[in-house]
Amino acid sequence: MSDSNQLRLNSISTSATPSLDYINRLPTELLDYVFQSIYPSDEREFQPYRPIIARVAPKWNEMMKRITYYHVDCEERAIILEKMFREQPTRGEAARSLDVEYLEPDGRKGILQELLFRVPALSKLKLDADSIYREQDYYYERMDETNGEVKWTISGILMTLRSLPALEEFEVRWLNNGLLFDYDWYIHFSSRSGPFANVE
Amino acid sequence: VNNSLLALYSLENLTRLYIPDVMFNVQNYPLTLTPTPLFTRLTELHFGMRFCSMNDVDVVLRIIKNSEKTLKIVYLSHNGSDVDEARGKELMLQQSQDISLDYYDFNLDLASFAWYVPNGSKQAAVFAVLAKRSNLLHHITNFMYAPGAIIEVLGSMRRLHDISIRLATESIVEELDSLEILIRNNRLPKLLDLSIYTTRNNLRDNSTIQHHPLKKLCDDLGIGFSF
Repeated sequence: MSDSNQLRLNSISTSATPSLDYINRLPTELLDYVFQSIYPSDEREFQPYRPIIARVAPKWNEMMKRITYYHVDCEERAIILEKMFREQPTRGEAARSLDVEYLEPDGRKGILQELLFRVPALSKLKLDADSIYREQDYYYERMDETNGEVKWTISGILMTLRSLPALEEFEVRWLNNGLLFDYDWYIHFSSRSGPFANVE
Repeated sequence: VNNSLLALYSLENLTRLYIPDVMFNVQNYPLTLTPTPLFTRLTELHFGMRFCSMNDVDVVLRIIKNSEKTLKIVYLSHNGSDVDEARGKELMLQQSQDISLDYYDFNLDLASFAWYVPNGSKQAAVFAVLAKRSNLLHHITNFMYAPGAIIEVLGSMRRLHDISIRLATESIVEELDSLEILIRNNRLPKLLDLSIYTTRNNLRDNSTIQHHPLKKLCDDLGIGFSF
């Protein structure tokens, strides 16, 4: 072993175990970058580690309270988020971006619609209705089975768009089924506001 | 009927709209009384559409018109299955070339405008209507799997730089002739790449394309040519 390498090893072995506080001393941007790289794409795997991370990186834990991006990939997560926004309306009002990779198959509970009503300042909404089927072997069969049910869920969600006046980016993936936007002129002709302002 | 189209139209701050499979079901809808989206600052529009009537086409034209000053990226594709199944609807598209309707004169400054026609779509009627009702086709830069019938209006696509076109085996010589005339007369001045597909792949098709003057013309002009 060369002298320089021996020197490095000695240096490492003799240095004291670093305090966990060094994580808190990281620049906020760097800390955010580190945690964004693993959160929220691996959210379900990540959740069990949240209490540990809250201890070793309290600064990040505080940052999480100010997060404006949310990711919903299962019903459980949707319920948790909706409850959180109901109990802490300011966090819902601060939400700016929401990725949804899950849709209620029966559309009866309306959790997603409730969720959207609690994030009025949302600027970016992504609904990926195909994601739940994409990794399954029986992709097409399952899509056929749930097609009508998902259609009603999405239809309900589309109507909640009116509660999202700040929305700047809207993305919906529901391939091979057609996202339907209905319009009946006779029903709405009497309205003279909003999109009908130009109607003679 | 949910009138969800109006919910979409109400998003006045919208800048990016990405829906790879969208249908508009517009009923009882006089085209002369077109509702207008409240959003006017779209920069990116990505629609995969199923056109069933001129009403549907008009919705898209109106959305683009409303944001023509800000749009930079447009990606459109359409699945013709609905029209193929119901010839009556295709006729409705044909009839809607009514000259009394609004003509959409687009003044777009796009970085890219791609139009993709999935395999099997035979909605040439849509392009005939678009060519009659607007200058939208003039702005296309990439046309993927275009139907052979598009050749009739191809000459207006002055910004096109990349096209793959599906020619009918029965009329392949005439269609190659038409393409050659368009290119020779500089009607496609920005064309960089031309790909030919035939409705039935066989050796005779390939031989016809291989020996057609279009191939040499493309070679001479430095236009990529593949089949």
